[in-house]
Amino acid sequence: MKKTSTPMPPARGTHADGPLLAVDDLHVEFVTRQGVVKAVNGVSYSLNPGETLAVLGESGSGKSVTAQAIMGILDSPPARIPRGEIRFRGTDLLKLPEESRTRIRGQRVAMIFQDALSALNPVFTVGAQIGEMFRVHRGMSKRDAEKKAVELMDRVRIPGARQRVRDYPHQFSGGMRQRIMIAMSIALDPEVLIADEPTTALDVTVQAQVMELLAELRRESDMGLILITHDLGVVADVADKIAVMYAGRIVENAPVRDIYRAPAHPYTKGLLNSIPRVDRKGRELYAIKGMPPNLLDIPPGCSFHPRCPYRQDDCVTDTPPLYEIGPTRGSACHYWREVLDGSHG
Amino acid sequence: MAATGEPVLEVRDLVKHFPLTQGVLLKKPIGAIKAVDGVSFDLRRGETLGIVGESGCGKSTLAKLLMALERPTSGSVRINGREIFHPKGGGLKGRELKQVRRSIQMVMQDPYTSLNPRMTVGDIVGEPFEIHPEVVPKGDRRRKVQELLEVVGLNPDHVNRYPHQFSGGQRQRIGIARGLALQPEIIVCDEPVSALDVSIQAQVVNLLERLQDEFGLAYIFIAHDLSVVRHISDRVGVMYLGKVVELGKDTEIYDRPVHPYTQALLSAVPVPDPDSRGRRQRIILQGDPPSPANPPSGCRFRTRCWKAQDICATQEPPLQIRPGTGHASACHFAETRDVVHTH
Repeated sequence: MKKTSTPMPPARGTHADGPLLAVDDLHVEFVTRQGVVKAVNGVSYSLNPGETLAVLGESGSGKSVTAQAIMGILDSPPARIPRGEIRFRGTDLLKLPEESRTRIRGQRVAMIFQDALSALNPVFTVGAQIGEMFRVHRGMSKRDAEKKAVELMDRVRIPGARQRVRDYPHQFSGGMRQRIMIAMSIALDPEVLIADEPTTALDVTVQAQVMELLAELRRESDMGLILITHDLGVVADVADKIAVMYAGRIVENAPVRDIYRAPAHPYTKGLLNSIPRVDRKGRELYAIKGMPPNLLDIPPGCSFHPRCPYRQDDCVTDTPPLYEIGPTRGSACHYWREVLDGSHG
Repeated sequence: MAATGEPVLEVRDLVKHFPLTQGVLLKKPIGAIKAVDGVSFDLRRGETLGIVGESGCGKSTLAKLLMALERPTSGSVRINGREIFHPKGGGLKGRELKQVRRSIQMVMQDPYTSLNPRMTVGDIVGEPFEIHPEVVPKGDRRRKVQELLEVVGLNPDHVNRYPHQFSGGQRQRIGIARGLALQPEIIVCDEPVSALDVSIQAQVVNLLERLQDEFGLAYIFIAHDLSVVRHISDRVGVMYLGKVVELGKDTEIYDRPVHPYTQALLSAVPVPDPDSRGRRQRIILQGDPPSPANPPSGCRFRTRCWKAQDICATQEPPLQIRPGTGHASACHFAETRDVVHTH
C-alpha cells in the first residue's frame, strides 16, 4: 500500500519566518435554537517562541472559544468557523485534515484546563493518565510510560512522585491536581501551551506556585504560552503582551507595561480602575456601568458603546477597527487619543 | 464607615469539631475534623470585619456557626449581648432564637444556586416575611419587596420575574435584597463577589458599602481575594487551620503584617502593576496545609514556616499583642515585615 503523507507544519528548529502561532480574523459562531451566537468576531493575535501572551476578558468575551478553536476541540455542530485562519508555523491548521490535527493536538500545541478535577479521569491513576500521552503519541510500553510519568511528576515538583504515580486524582489536593494537568500538557514538549484560567480555582499561595512553575517551564523550553485569564494581577506578573477581549473582539492589544501605564480603550481603563488593590486602600471603586452584551444580540457599532463614558454618535453606527496606535499597540476605539490623554489624570 | 459603640456581635472561643467515624453501624469515633478551633472576636455596629484564609481554614464553617446553621462544639456567640448557644446545649430556643436570628442575615457565594429557580424574585425577597410576619404586615409586603429591589438597584417592576432572567450580578443583588428584608444589624457575606465578573464585582462591592452607610450594617466579609477584603474591611482576621493567627486594622494587617503566614499570603497576591514585577519579595510556601483532622502540635503553621524553632512544636502561641507590634498575632517570633509594597 502506498503511504500517503499528511501535510504538517514545519518541525521545530527548521525556522520559518513569522510567528510561532498566528490567529488571523477568526470568527466562531454557535448555531442554537435561539439564533446564531457570535462568540468570536474577527480575532487576530500572534505568539512568538518563549513569549507569554495574556488574553484578558470576562465570561462571554470569546477568550476560551478562541483557544478551543486553536486546539480544534470545538464540537461542530453547534460551532462553526465561517472565516479566519490559525497559522501554526505558517501552516493554516483549519485547512489541515483531522489526521494531521490529531498529531499536532497535545503534541505540539497543548492545553491546560481550568478545573483539574473534572478534566482528569477519576477511575485511572494519575500515572496512567500522564503515561497515556507517551503510549498514544510515542508508542511506548506501559512500563516505560510510567517511568516517564514519574519523571514528569518530579519536574512539576510533586513530592514523592515514585510513590504517588499509582494514586488516583481524588487523592491529590487542588494544587497538586493542577500540577498533574501541567505534567500531562508538557509531556510531549509542546511548542505552544494554552493555559485557560490555570489558577482560578486555586488558593493564592498555590496560585503563586503554579504560575512560577509555568514561567520556569516556558524559560527552559522556549515554549510560547497563551494565558487566558480575567485576573489583572496575574497578567501584570507574568505576561509580555496582552490582548483584551470584549464581546468576541480584541478591543486593545499592547505590551504589558504600556497597557497598565496608559490604557487606550475605555473598557481596559474601566477594568483597571475597577479592581481593588492589595497594596493600597482606595476610595470607592470605579464601576463600569451595565453588563456585558448578549452575544445573540451584540450592539451595533462599537459593542462597548452602551457602557462607555466616551461614547459619541458615531460609536453607535460605526464599528471601530483595531486602530494601530503605536508600533506594537492597537485600540478599537474611535476616541483612543482622548482615552490615552485622560489616563494621565 | 466608622464603627461605634458596643459590639453587636461577640464571639468567644468558638469551636466546631466534626466527628470522624469508622464503621457503618456502630460509627466508632476515631477523631475529629477541627474546622474551627477557638475563634474570638468582636464586631461593632457599622463595622466590617474581613476574614481571609485559604480553602479548608474554616472560614465558611465560621459563617455557618454565626448563622446558627451549625451548633458549635463549645464557645459562645452573643448578638446584642444575648447568647445564642448555651454551654449546656440549651441556649436560645424557639421564639427567642427566631427573634435573635432576625438580626443576622447572610449573603451567599453563588448567585446561580442560592436562589430557588421556581420562585419569582418577589417571592424570594419576600420569603423572610413569611417566617417573621411581624416585620411587615401582609398587605404591605409587595410594596416592601419593591422598595427593597429599588434599594439594591433593581427595577421594582421585575418583581414577577424568575432568577434565570437575571445576570449574575443582578442575582447577587437579589440575594442582598433578601438579606436586607428583615432589617438585620449584621450581614455575613460568604464570598459574595467571587463568582462575578471583574466589571460586576465593583458594582456589588460599592452597593454593599452604600448599604452599610445607609443602614449602619455590620459585615462579616469572608473572602479569599485579599484585595477585595482590604478594600471593604475596617479590620481583618487571618485564619489558618481553624484558628485566627492575626487580627488587626486593615492597615496593620496589610502594611505591617507580623505573622509569617499573613506575610506569605500577602506576598503571593499579584499586584496589577508590571513595574513591580521582580521587585517584590515572594514568599513561596512549600507543600499544602496539613489536614485539619490531625493538625501539627504547638503552632499549626510551623510545618510550613521558615522561622520555626523547637518552642513552636511544644507551645501553642496564643493570639495576643506582642512586643514591638501593635496588634494581635499568634506567633512566638512575630516581627513586622512589609511584603506588599516595593521599596
